Amino acid sequence: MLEAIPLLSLLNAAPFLGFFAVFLFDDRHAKRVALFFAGLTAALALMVLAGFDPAGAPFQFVEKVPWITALGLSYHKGIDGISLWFVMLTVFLTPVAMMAGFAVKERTRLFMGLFLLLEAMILGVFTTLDLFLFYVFFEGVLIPMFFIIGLWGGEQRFYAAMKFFLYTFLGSVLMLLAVFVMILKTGSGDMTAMMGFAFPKELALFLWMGFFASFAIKTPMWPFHTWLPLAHVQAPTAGSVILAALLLKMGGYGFIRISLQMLPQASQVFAPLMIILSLVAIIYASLVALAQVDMKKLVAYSSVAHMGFMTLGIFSGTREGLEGAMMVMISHALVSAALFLGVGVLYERTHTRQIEAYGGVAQVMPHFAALMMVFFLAALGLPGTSGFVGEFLSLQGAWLYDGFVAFIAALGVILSASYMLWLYKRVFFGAVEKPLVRGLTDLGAREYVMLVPLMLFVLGMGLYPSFVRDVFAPSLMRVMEVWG
Amino acid sequence: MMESVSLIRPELFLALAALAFLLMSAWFQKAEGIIYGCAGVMVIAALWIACADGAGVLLNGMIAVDDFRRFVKVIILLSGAAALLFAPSFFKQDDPVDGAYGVLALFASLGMLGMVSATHLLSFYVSFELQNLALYILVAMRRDNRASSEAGVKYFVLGALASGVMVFGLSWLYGFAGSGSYAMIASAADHAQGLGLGVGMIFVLAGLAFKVSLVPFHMWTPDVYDGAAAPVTGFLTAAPKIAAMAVLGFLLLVPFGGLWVFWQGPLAALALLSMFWGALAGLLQTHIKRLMAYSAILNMGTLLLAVLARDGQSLLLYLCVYVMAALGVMGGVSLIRIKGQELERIEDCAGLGRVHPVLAGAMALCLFSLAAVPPMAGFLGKFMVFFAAVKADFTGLAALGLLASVLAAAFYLRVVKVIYFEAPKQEAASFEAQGLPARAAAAAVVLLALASSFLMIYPGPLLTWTASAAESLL
Repeated sequence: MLEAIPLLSLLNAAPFLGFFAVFLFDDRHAKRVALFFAGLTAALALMVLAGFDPAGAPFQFVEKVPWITALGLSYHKGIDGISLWFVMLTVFLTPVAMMAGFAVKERTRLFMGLFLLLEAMILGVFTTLDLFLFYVFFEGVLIPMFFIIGLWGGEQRFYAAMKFFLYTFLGSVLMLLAVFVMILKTGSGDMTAMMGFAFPKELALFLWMGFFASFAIKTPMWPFHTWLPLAHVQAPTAGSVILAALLLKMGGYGFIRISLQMLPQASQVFAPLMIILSLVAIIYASLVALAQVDMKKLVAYSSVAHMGFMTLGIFSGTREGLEGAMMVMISHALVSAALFLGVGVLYERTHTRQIEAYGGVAQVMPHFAALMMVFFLAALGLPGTSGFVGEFLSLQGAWLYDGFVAFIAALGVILSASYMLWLYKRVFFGAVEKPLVRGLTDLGAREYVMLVPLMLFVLGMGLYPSFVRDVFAPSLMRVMEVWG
Repeated sequence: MMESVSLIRPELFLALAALAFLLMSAWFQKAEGIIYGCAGVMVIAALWIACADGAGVLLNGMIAVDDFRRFVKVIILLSGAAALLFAPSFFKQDDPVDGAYGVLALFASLGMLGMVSATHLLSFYVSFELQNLALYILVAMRRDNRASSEAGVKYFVLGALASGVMVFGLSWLYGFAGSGSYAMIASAADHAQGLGLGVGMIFVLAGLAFKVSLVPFHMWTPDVYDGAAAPVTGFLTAAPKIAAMAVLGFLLLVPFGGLWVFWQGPLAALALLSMFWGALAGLLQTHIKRLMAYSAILNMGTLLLAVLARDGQSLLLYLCVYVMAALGVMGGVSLIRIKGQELERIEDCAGLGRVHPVLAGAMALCLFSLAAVPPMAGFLGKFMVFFAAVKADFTGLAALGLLASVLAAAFYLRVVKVIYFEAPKQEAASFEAQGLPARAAAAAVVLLALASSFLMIYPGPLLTWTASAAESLL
């Protein structure tokens, strides 16, 4: 029966409908309407998860309708074990981000609508199997995010929004060129057909570079990361959550789905370069994170470092590395979301993100401190949390690639422990000296609802990772087969 | 003979209606009525042309009718009608409405239809000048406004020069082909007389490049766009650009198809210069109409890629989506009043997002479409044009064009930023757009914006229509 329903289309259409529906209500009801549509989307996603068979066909829930026939483009949807988890993350984190956005007082309706639009675009990226459509969604994400940063952001929001938009747009334009060539060569936009297609070697290198420009900026990899700290610091909490947890994953997803699966040989050629860039990202971003005085900026740089582990795992060319990369991405989505929410919780109360403005928060907000401890430990990769699994597997992949690479990457683990723990110490421990801190109140109900499920997922994934792994492992095996 | 004249009945209707309205405007005081009447005539003619079929050459080989020409004529008329809708509410506020606006637009459109239909240098040039004369007057119509008069004079002097250059080229073509008919030129081009024809063709190309404002023939564009009244600028961004670009594409691909070696290089140079100069200079603009002028330059440059790639379908498709979005923006500009004055500076749009959310939203959609951000229709146009260019092995040119489009996105986004992110300024806080004419214009803007967003999702009919139109081209 499930086969008869175009589940992925419904999943994708629900937030779109929500986007329009929100404008039928006033600001007060908009929140509830938006949550309803986000919930509906999540319910549909759960149906997809329930119906997905990891051992089954490579792509499931496939739908295909001709669209622009002259160019061989179609409306083509389908998911595998890799994209399924990103879909799950999207539907879970969007309502969380919306709840964080309940603090927004101005133009609530537009705010909620934009988040639904954003969700629709992100879901589109992860569920589409047509390269043209993939590009459309990949770019479409920019419009709602541009408004979210620009309308509800901090003092430098104009500059941040413009830089975010133009920087990623520039990368995507190079990708567009590669998209043209791939559609021309294969005669259609079908991504599954491209996966087995033997592109001429020279051409494949150029294509790879086109995609690299886009994904490296999106991920972001060093040295293309400069838009990220700015965008994060200026974006409202909810925007930062989506940006870190979901938008960055589009880069990693693209690397696996397109660079690796469609252009395996070129990926092998460029693997050493990618490994080097990843190592630089891990070490450099960690060192920069140590020097930050702004909490949000610190978390942003830690994201760059974590994405370094992700690309390291992907391009180590090993099964362990790839699985590690997937785990890093999923874990980072949960943990970075929680960290940004945590910063938001403090910021809403005090209106400062400066680390030196805090100290002794644990005494005033014990529950908050305890919850955040879990996320901080997950961020530094403590065993038993989701962060450990991914980092460990990535390092294992790096070790199989080259011992020295693993050694340097492991230094990054130490550095991440130092900046996270140091941050925790400066903010939460010590005596309550600042009057600002003295007036803090512990978490409210809305904040519990946002943070506790995240904590459960982080711990659950750390203790029983195979639940997550078993779903994507067969799909990753297929990626490995092309890689050779 | 009668059978073939029946093919141009809509044009005859348009010409008669133009004359009738000209007479009426002398006696009839309700100028608004005349303008709406003219818009109605254009829509009727457009629908008439759209529903007709059949092809043929008539009037002793002066004029032809086919699918390509039919499509171009329809979008010229529709865009002209849309620009006319913006006029009554605009003129009502500071100048008395003049019915001549509608009549002149009708004559200009008639000239454009003639340009597009022509199959002979003579009929082409006569229509070209009919269009030009009407446009010169339109630009200078606000007699008491210095900027408008200056723009009119500038347009006239430079336009006359361009016409002279073009006539010079036409005389070469006539001399070397021995006839003014396109068919004769085409067959001469395939034979020995390449060089002489090539020289003539370059001059004709220069004249047309002036019309579509390609760098380095673009100098008049920003001043004229800025000086003319906003609805006139709206008219200029759409109909004459469609006509001149379609003729340029048609002439190069069909009669001059054999002279490929002569025009390929110059055209690529024009394309690159226009795309980059349009994008770079656009970044520096402070006036919204000047910005739209540079946007036109950039987009016309991009369209040359479609001509280079010999792809009629993407040419037509891009023209459509560009004109829709540009008209939407210009419609918004002609609706917005700041303390009773016309909107000029971009910074005066600040806070529009709060004061007029619907109009601001529509303008933002159109700007995103111009910036070719998916999922807007502008992206479909850009995709088709650059895809065609890559397919025809102009990958380097396409890559440079895409880079220019990123620069261009920056200037469109700047307008969106001002509209939405900046708070309204105190002295410019009042926006006015009231009354029935204003509502009609606003409805047109919203429709254009919706079309700019939904055409991408359901492009089927437009694609089939442009495909069949392009088929009759080559």
